Amino acid sequence: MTLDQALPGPAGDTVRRRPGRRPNPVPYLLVLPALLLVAGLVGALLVLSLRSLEGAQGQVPSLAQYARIATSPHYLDHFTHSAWLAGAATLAAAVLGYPVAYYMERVGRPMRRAIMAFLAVVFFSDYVLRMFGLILVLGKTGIVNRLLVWSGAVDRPLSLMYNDFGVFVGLVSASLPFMILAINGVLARLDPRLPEAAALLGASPPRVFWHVTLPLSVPGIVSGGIIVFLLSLNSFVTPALLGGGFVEMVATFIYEQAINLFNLPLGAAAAMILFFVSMVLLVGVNGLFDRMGRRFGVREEGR
Amino acid sequence: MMLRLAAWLVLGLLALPVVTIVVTSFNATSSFAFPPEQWSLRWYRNVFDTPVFGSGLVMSLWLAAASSMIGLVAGTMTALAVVRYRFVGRGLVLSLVMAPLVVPEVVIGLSLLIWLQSVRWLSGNGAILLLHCLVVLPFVVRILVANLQRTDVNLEHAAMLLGANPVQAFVRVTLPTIAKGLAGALVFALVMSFHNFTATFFLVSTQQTLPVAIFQYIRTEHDPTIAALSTLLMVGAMVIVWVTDRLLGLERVTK
Amino acid sequence: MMVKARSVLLAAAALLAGIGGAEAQQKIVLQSWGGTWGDAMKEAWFEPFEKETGIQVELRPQGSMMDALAKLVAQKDRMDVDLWITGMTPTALADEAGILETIPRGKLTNAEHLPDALIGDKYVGVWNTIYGVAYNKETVPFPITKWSDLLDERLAGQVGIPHATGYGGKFILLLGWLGGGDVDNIDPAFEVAAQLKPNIGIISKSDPEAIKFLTSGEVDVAAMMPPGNFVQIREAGPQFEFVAPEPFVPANFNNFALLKGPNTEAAVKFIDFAISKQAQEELARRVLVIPANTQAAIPEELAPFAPPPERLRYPDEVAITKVLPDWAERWDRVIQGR
Repeated sequence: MTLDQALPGPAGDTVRRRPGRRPNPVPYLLVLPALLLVAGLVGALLVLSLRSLEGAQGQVPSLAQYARIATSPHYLDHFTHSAWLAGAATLAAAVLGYPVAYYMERVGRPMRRAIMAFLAVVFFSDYVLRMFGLILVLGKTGIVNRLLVWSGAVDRPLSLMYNDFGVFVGLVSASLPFMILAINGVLARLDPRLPEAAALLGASPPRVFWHVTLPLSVPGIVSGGIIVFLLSLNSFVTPALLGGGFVEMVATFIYEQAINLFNLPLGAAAAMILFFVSMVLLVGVNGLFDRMGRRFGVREEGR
Repeated sequence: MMLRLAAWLVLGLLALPVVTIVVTSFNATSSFAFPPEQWSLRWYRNVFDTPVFGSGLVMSLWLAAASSMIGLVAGTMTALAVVRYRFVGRGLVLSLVMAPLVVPEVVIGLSLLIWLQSVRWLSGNGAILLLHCLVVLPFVVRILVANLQRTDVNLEHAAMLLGANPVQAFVRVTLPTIAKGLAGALVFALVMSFHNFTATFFLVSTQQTLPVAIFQYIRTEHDPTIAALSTLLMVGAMVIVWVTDRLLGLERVTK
Repeated sequence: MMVKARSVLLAAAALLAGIGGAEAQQKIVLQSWGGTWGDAMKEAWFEPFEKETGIQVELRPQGSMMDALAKLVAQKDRMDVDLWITGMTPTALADEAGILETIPRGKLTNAEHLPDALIGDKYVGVWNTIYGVAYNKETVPFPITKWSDLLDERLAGQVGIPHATGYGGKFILLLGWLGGGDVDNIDPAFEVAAQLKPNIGIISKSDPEAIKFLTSGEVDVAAMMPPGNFVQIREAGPQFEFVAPEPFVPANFNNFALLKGPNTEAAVKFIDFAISKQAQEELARRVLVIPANTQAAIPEELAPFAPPPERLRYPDEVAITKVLPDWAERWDRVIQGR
């Protein structure tokens, strides 16, 4: 779901414009409605950036809000803590997702389709409701605690949510479908002759996996990883429902500042920072990914 | 063997909340006891007796329908321009149209809220509709660009040679060949709008959408009504997956 | 051409008249809390008011006051809400944002029965409420009688508290008072907060959430609970108890704020009605608050919960408004992270 996935190659022989004529107005008319909609977003982002440049007494332009965030260890903490949680969730999703993605390539088509359909149902169901499911699983009266208390493993229910752990589990569970599908997408297009050749040359199955299959699936892990990392970094629902007020991430911090403290300029500045961090990550990793993709011989449009 | 175990374990973990929700929804008491001692459908009745869910559903459906239609028309036109023409700014147009997908949702939500404060002509519901159009636009463009690339422009040329004007050629020749893609894009757009929460949450005031109503209910009430509603929506999600598979092919969409 | 223009004008005039006709049934929109509070207002205020004046009142439920403020400011230029029941902190912020109308005191026949502190240009007090502790007698091993009981180590992870800006920061102030501080010396609050931290089980973002966490067993104690919420809590079972702890009980008033809405005049009439002796008593009885109108009797139902007046302590809310962002930051620094 990255940006350049949608960019098709040059229009090639379907191009209608002939040399030596005025630019054809038709394509511009065709893109006009969509651009009008996007103008709404661009305009809103401009207003947001203006608002973030307001000083404490409303004077413009001022970098006071940015300075306040940069000099407050507590404010910065929200960013580093979010990045830390998102990084941990990405790693866990990759480790947990890989076996499933790999397994899907090893089983027959009906099973593969069944798993795919299950993942799609999870993907198409409501995010808020999936977090509710986790509350039922992790809460003080949830099934995990009931099981633990019933089996005598603990005598008082454990605090499995309303802390970092709960938020981490929420982020991982929300990320897994994306990660599995991204990795599987690459594995499915892998040239089956490569591992076969390695096996023919005498490599044992684990060696084939570690030295051929796994390195070749890195692009899938990276593309899944960047989606998952950004989704986790920007997550609002998960910390709001599973953080219990103890775990603030950037998104809930922005909401708290802009809405609960009515400090729009500070909230706007935090939002602008989040926006830039996301963009830099996306563009940076995409560039890296393109180079890597070429190196590993994954074809451009095959992604 | 190890692989199979690991894969099923992960899938099991992913399924655990879903199974818990479905089982809980049939619990006769509000205690969340698991497994339930008695079974009942009372929470399903409660779903329909809770007015915010009804009005939320109406609001969400209305929004999804309106934004999908607007998004579908604007998105199809854009996809057509991008696939069939080469023009100055083509790459920029595509990046802009894809932008709502990469701007964090909190940022979109807050920026629209602030914008709403400073312009007179946009109403609260107007801003929410704009937001949802933006949410669905990238998906529509992406699906239709892929679809249009597979159609043969020569058929349109042939139709025009036979005397059709460009519009007729599009409607009679191209449209039928991308009909499945259009339908698939529509389904995707409807789902994406219907489930949008974070950005919408910033803009919603009194007329809540269904996900916002659910969020507030989870925060303030403690009974299995939400589990029953979840189960109903999950059945809906299954139907949608089935339809998407029919229209686009699951394996292609999920890539 | 002339004829056409005239007929268009006539049609427009007819249309306008039609709208005017529809408006004969006047309606005002009041933003306030729903649930128990909304039900009580409907019975005690809306219905008798409509009977008396023919003006309908529509309730717009709000979650938290600050959330409502952000949304109200967003619709500044097309305000469709006339009245707002809120607190002094949001009132001050709303006034700064320019969405409030001055309330004409001369038109309020019942204003003379309000204490001076409860009425100003932009606010009219509507009720006083106190804040105590609600807890589960079955799971808390000792009776809670004073605020410092919340620090007892037997309550580890069992206390629910409001978030930093909840009740306009008054829980922070309460801890400050307990540590010997006040609005201008808030440091002790954070020392007490650090002591309280091991016992905090959940931080709630709104009243209904706090009620849910207590009644669903997520925590055993809910600090900072108005008796009005206890009305709902005790429905969940006889094991719940309310106490107004020693040594003093924070109290504050909620107030009407008049928005720049479409029906200001009718809204002022409603304010006057709501602060009348009878309306005040009717409402107070249902949600266990102390009437703002000094002529109105304190409801008997509140007696078991309410401490003697000398134990009540009112904060300087306007002063808090200015320092609240700083408090919130320091508070989060102490409380957050697990």
